[in-house]
Amino acid sequence: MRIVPQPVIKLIPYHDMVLNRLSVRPFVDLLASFHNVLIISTLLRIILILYSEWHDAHSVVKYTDIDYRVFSDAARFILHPGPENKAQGILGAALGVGDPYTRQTYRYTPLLALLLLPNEWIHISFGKYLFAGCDILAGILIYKLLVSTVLPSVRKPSSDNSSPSSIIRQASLLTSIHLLNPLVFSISTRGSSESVLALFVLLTLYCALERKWTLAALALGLSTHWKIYPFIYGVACIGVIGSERGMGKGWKGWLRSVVNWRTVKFGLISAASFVGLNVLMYLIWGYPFLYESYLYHLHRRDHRHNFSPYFYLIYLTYPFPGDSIPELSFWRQVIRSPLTSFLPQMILSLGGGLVFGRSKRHLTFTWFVQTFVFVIFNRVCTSQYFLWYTLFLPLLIPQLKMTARWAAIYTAVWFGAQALWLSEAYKLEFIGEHVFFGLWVRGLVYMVAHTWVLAGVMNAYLG
Amino acid sequence: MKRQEVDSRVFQYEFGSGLHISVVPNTRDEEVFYQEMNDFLDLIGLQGSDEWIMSYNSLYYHTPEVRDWTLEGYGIGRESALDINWSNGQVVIKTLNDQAVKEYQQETGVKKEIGVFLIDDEISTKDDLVLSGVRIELMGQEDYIHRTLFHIKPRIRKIGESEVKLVSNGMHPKLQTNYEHKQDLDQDVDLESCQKYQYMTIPKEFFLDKYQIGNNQLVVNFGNLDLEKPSYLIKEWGTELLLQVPNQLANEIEIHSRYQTPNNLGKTTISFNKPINFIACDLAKDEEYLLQNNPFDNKLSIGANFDKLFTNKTVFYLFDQPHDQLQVDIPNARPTNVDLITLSVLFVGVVIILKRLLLKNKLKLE
Repeated sequence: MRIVPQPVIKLIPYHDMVLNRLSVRPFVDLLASFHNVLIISTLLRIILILYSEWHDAHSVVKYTDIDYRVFSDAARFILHPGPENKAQGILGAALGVGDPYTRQTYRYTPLLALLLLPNEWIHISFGKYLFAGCDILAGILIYKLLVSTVLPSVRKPSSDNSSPSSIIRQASLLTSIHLLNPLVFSISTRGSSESVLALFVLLTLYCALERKWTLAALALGLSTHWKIYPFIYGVACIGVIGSERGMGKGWKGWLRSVVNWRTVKFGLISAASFVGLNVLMYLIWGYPFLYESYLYHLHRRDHRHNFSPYFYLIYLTYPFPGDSIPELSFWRQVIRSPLTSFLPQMILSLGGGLVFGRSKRHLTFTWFVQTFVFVIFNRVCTSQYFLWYTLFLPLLIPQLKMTARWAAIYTAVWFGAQALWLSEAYKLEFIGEHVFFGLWVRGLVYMVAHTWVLAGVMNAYLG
Repeated sequence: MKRQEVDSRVFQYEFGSGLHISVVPNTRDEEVFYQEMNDFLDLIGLQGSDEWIMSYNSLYYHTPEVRDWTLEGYGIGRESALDINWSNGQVVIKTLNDQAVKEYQQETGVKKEIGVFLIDDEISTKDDLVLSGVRIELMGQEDYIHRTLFHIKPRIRKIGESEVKLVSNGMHPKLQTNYEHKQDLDQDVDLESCQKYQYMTIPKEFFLDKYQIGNNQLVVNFGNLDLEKPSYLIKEWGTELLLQVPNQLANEIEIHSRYQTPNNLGKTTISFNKPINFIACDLAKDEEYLLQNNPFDNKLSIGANFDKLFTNKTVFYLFDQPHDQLQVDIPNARPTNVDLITLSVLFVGVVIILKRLLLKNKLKLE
């Protein structure tokens, strides 16, 4: 009797069985060609952007995200300086440009507003096409990584799935998880800029997996300039770079592996890229850039409802004017301190980078865990934050040992926790019911549910 | 102040209800200003406040209700429409009184002049009023009676009725206005360009998103413009707004609730005045003279009324509406102690992840 080797991914046999039963084989065959996936994804985005223009012109409830108006206004402010709207940096005065931070609630890098200048010159939807284009480029990077690195590393040479045509077919199907993900294409076509950052992060990962560490460091600096959270990936990168020449024994060996010329060089280049961009932006746009992009986040209090259960704590403990402030016990002061969320978030996400970031092979998984943890324990969380880690799923799925049943359960729990929260938030936002307490309870459910899902994914990866 | 049922063709106090105070400070010292202002308010029985907003050309304070009122002793009732002008240490109180009989005492050396007029409807139109009657000069010794006829051009006119509703939409109620035109503007030959507007004062519990509405529509937006702060962090009383609205029979504006201070009710009830709805028209140049020489014209260089935002040659066609207020409930948190449970759940989450990080799978990654 011949013993059939257990496949790395148990999903595949179930997958075929399910596909046949559901008669979706033609659809899957269509997506097995990356060329088709690209065409469908591109057309879908173009149609949605055109639809958004029509919808917004005819409906009170807009398809376009409020943030898109913020970016577009910021771009307009750069283009049209005035007495109350001048870039406040030293170079800014010489360049004669406006200040994107004149637009209230614009708290992004000025590069984003610069990218959207053609909204003024060409068409107001230019930015949406740009964001959709970033989606497509991210898809191409995912596909290339799957074909060149991820799938060959998880296939056994004897397996039927290791042939080049099979790899291409699977890479295409996996890439479609990103490109045809409703969350991904709706967010970019509504005009949210997450896809730009997603592209930068994937570019960093691509360079890292190709061992182009200088480019990876530059891309990491750019990503961190764009939004601060990708700095957590630096820890894992340093771990991987250090492990490339072998790990010494004991903690001294580990220390030598993470602190050496190659890791220091990576750190210096990524820091220089980050600092260089910030200095340039500061020279042009001055203190408003520094405050709105970075300093604001140090003292912000997110009292408005969001997935994070912290919102309720913040709302209830806001220093209300006229309140006599009672003396709080030590532990209550600890609970209400911003450090209470910051510490576990940093310990787990940086710790995850240190623990798992020991091999290039595990880098995608490490970044996924770091980001997932960062989002779960962040003091503020909206749906867009989920894209920060679902981005890695197409690259991670081939490396998971998970049955289709468990995959379905985890997916259901992941979506279910969000649906539970969103249904309550709808009651507050659009019906005006007094459901703050219920929202907080659902925020707790979301936190536990997503933690459980992450733990399940970690188990499926690590066995 | 409160509006009163008087002939609004002549006496034009089409202000929003409640208390409106406009001030041009004569000092740069904030402390001195508040002291002086609060002393004056105290004199007329009103409470001082530091919730002023910077309006068009003055500081402006408003409450939808007149909370304290102590001028009854001077025969000035809470319901009278009146102006109190305080300048250079002198207070002038202008009030409307519909008493049919009024006694006047003659005083030696004091000249008083009393006029009794009726609108001559036979020769008046809605844009040109002819007042016919007598003026009596009370000189102390001898009285002189003069037959008098004069022509006034009212700045504020009526064109129809409007109905304003606050449509429930959770944290984003919608202000819906329907207009009924009872007269046609085209009958007025002295008008040049016209545009429909809504003037409103909204309390700090709400805000309008100026970016959502756009500069073309939001002509004036005085007050705290922050889009994110909860109402308990807004010092100002609210916002004064002038919106240019389409010349159509209905329009809708979305307003947004700020987060409120937690209370045991779980909601905060807010009342505020309905917008004043009108069409503003420029008057032909040769008609300006009459408009500006109307002795009853109530337009002041400063003041808490929409007319300060327009030129002297602008006339206003108002849409009448009931003077009741708009009321809306904003949900808010109830004071609850959630610290321990939040911390416990956070702890559980951390333990679940730490367990995977540290205990189970370390070796397999080597």
